[in-house]
Formats: sequence, structure tokens, C-alpha cells
Amino acid sequence: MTSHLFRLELRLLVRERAAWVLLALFAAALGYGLWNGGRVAGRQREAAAAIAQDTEAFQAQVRQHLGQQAIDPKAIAGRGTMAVLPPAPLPLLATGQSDLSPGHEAVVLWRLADSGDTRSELENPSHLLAGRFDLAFVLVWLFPLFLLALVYDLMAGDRESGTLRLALAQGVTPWRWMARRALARSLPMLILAALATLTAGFFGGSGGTGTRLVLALAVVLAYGLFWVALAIAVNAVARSAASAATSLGAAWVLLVLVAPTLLNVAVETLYPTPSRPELVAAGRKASGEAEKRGGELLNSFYRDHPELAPPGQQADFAAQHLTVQTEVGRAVEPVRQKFDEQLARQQTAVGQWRFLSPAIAMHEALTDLAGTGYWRHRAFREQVGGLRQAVSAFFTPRIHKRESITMSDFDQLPRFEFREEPAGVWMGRVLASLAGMLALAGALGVWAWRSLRPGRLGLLSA
Amino acid sequence: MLETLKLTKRFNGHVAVNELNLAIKPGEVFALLGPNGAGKTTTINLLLGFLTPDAGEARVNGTSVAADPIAARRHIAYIPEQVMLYPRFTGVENLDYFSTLGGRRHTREELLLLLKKAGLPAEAADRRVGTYSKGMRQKVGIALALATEAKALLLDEPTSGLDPAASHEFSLLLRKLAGQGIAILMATHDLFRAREDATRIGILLDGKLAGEYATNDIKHVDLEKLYLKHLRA
Repeated sequence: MTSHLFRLELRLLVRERAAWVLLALFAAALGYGLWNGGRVAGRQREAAAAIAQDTEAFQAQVRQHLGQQAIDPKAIAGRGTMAVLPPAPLPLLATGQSDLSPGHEAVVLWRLADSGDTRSELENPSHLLAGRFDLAFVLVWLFPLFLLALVYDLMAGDRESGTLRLALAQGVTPWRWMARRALARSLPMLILAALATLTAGFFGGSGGTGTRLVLALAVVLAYGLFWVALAIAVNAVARSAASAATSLGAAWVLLVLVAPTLLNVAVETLYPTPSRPELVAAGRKASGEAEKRGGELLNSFYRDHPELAPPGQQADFAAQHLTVQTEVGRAVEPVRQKFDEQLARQQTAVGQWRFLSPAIAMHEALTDLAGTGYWRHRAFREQVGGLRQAVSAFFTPRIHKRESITMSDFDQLPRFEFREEPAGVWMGRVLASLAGMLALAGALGVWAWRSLRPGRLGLLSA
Repeated sequence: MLETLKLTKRFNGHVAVNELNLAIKPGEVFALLGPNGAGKTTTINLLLGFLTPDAGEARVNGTSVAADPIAARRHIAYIPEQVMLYPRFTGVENLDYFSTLGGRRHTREELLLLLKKAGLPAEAADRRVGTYSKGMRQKVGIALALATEAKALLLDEPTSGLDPAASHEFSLLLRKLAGQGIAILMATHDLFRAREDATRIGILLDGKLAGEYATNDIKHVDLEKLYLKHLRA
């Protein structure tokens, strides 16, 4: 009986030309989002492969030289050590921070004090949501719009036309009638969204992404469920299809556009980051002053570290440069640290308040699952910071002492290996977002169910 | 059987239905006459459970509507003034949809037969309802009453807007349904049809039954006089 009615509801839907147009447009948007995400991921994969190849070639060349004789550390210090963030597990799902933060960085001894990545500051969440036309953009922004276009009139239009009176007179509960219709009308969109998510996993995912893919599917369906629940709740009280459409349109604007923007304004007000020009100016100022006092600084350095002083204490240019850099780093560090801390606070606040809008929770969850979220990129930057220190610790004493590098030294040259965030940590964030969306959908469903109890259908008598 | 026991409904202090007592037996057609605002549609809404009474009770086939509106509705067929169907569905698809909602599943052949019994031309059954006249849509409503094997039929201004031939055809169908033992309540302004089709007539004024007459006892012309007398009283 139920399945027969479900089929009839589907038949009613497929007879609407507008439904086909909407489904085609949504499918096209999903396809374009996947293709776009694939392009970005492809470029990043190619860049990582090229770096790996280049590094390998360089190391082979150095080993060949070292086979014949020890070499001056300055000869390889300028080349730098490459830190590469491994490809995201589900890059097609969301570009996320990967177009804001570089996925690789050359740690060069002569530029250790450079500000490095400062582009990864928290952007306007609405910009983050819009960002690139990738699958996450389609799922977070457009999916609710397309879905609402199909389900905005679940009951209101029938109430207006009088069909609802005839339907309910048959002895069906309004809740069951509307839930069945909501499911039938939303199913094609939900299927398309789920298929696109699976496509992102199967064609763009790296190995071992099964759990991420299952969670991504759950998050996408929970997000869809939230919007369907909202449509049910609005239809439970709306007197006409037009008022239902207006209310749902307003809800979309509020939840997808306004709430993320307001949250961004709030976190930036609460935790303001030092401006980027301030960071750059601090670096330049420190650099200028340190260069002027280069010789003085070097002498001071050797007074503190006599064990590193070369015979005759004749500092060469490289040693002086290193000393200047250390000073610049020391001067800039408080500004940079404040910048990073404030960014982390902002992101933590966004995480805590993401349930203000399911769109924020959805975006956060998708980027976490894709491996392109803030926290993975932050972990990369922190680990690059560690590499900088290791590179400095490796080269600085040798350059000051003018020691050559041998094959066994070269084997100890710091190399970068990214340590992924423990699964429990990112999974905790994703599951919290998922639970939040389901809770919101559930609350709306309960409210709609209460509004649709047989004794509370006063609008029917109008 | 349809019953109301001191059924009362108020809207913002105004009494729309005032201690109404009705008892319509199987096979009986009861015509509820009254001017606009007399409480006819409110009575139907109370019997359907779309409104909750402030006092009294409505019963359908012994089931209290307020206590279990869903179960009560399973015994009722309802034909509003405008039978609103889904225009993108054909007549047979609409009948399939609404009868399945009522818990009765029929084969296509059975549905076509029901539509035929209700007087819908065979060629119209597979046509989209968007092209139907009001009379044709009402026939789908009658077929729905047949499909759900309802014990009671509620009609709200069923002949309003129908041409005389369609109105006559509808009357014949109504009598056929009454002959099958269905208790019928018809709210109408149409004195002629009320006299022709009903077994009893009640005149409703300000939510109260001002008079009740057996149609065998009165002629058309007398009914009009009685009705106007009640209105002027």
C-alpha cells in the first residue's frame, strides 16, 4: 500500500516539467563541481609528483658528488628541503583550504625567517563556502536551493486548492501523508547528491577512504534531511504555496548567507588577527635593522656560542646572513605567533558555533572529510615549522664551523614526513556536525508532527 | 450511521453550531438546508474531524470523531463543492491515489469499473483531470465513495454549478448510493434537489436545527414557504 502510494507520488513528480529541469540543472552543477575539484586536485597531485621527482634527482646528484668528495653545506642549503602535504584523502569533495594554503613548501636555510604561509587566515565563512565552484559549494549552497524547489510545496498548495481536504478525508494522518510525499519528492535530489559524493570518493579518493566516504554520505544525507524537515515544518503551518516558498527562501538566505557572515564578523571581532601588512612590516623592519647590525650581531652570536666560532673568527657572508635571520625570526615571532593563535581561536569559535547554521556545520564536516580543512593545513604548517628548526639545527653549526658534509651527514639531513591528525580527532568533529544536523532535523520534525496532529488542523476548515 | 449529539462549535465567541442533534440512518439522505453562515460546512468539518467540537459529540458508524478521527474518516466518503483532484493525474490515477490513501487497493480493471458505475465516460478515465468538467470530477468523487465502501457520505453543495442534466444524473447516483445502505448528509442551498433526493430535510439557522421535515410530507412549493418562514422568523 505504502510503496504503491510512493510510486504514485513519484509519478506525480515526474509529470512536472519543472522537476526535470531542476534535476538536470542540479546534475550539471554537481558534474561541474566534481570536474572543477578534480582539476585542482589533479594540479596538486602533479605538483607533488614533480617535487618528489625533482627531490629524488637532486639527492641522487648530491650522493654522486658525495661519493667522490665531501661538499660545502652552502652548496645544498640553498636548494632547500621540500615539505609536501600528501594529497587529501577525498580532494574532489571539497577544495577547502587547499586553494588558500599551499600544499608544499620549500624550507630554505637562507629564508627561514620568512613569514611562510600567512594566506591561510580564516576567510569570511561565506567566502569559504562559496570559494571555488567545487562539489562542496554545490552541496552546501545549491543543494538546499534545488531541494527546496522540489519540496517547498508539500502540503500548502493542496491546502490552498482543497485537495488536502479530500486526501485527509480518506483517513490518512497528515503527518504520514506529508512525510511520504516529502520522501518521494526529495528522493531524486538526494540520490543525485549521494551519487556525486560517491563519485568523488571512487574517482578522486586515495586508498583507505572508506570510512570518510561513508561519513561524507551520511553528512550529505543529514544535510538534505534537515532541509526536507524544514520544508515539512513550514508546510505544516503555511496557508499557501507562495507563503511556504517565501518562508523557505528566507530561511535559505538566513542560514546559508547571513548566519555564516554574522559568525565571521563575530569571531573576527572577538579574536582579531594582526593585519597582514603589520606582519610584513614587522618582518621588514627587523630585517633592515638586523642587516645594518649584521657584523655586530655575528660577533655577539660567537660570544654566546664560542664553540661555533670559526678559526680566526672571520665570519663569512653565509654565517652573517644566518645570524641576521635568527634575529629577524626572533623579532617577527611574537606577531606571527599572535596571528596563528588568533586564527586558531577564530576557527575554534567557528567550530563551536557551527550549529547556528547547518550550512557551516556541513562545510566544516565536508572539508574535514576531504582532508582540506583548516586543522589539517594547520598541522602541516606546524610540522613545517618543526622542519625549519631541524634544518637550521643541521646546517647552522656546520656553516659556522665551515665543516663539509659527508655521505653519512647527508643521510641525517632532515626530511619531511607529514603526520596525519589522529582519526579520532577529525572523526569527532565530523560526528558532532552530523549529530547536530540530525538533531536540528529531528527537532523540526517533532515540531511539524505536533502541528499536524489531527486535532490541530484548524487551517483545513478555512 | 451519522450522529451528532448536542454538537457545539464556537469561533471567537460566535456560535457556529449550537447543540446540534442529528441521526442519519443507513440508506437515508438527509439534506441540511440553510443560508450562508448557518453552520452547514462547519457541521461537515466537525463530522470529518477537521475541527474539534467545543461541546457535544459527532459519531460515524459508532466511532467518536473527536476520539479517533482517523478511524471515523475510514467510514466516510466526502464530496466537497469542488472535487479538487490532481490535474496531472488521469481520472483512474486520481481514483487509485485517493482510494489507496483510504486503505483500499484496487486493480486497474476494478477502478475503471468503479468510474463507469459512477457515470464517467470510458474515454475520460485515462484523460488527465485537468481537462475535466466539474460534473466529471464529481463522478470521480462518487467513484471514490464506491471504492472505499464508505458507510457514510458527506456532500457539501454537490449540485452547485452543475447544469440541470448533470444535476439530475448526480441525483440518480445519489439515490443508488443510498440504496446501497449508505447514510448521506447533504449540505445544500438547492431546495429543489433537497426535496427530490432527500428522505429528510433539516433547516439550519445560526447553527441550530430550526425545523426537520420528512420529504414525503411536503411538496416543493411548501418547502420553499417553510424555508422562507424560518428565515424570516
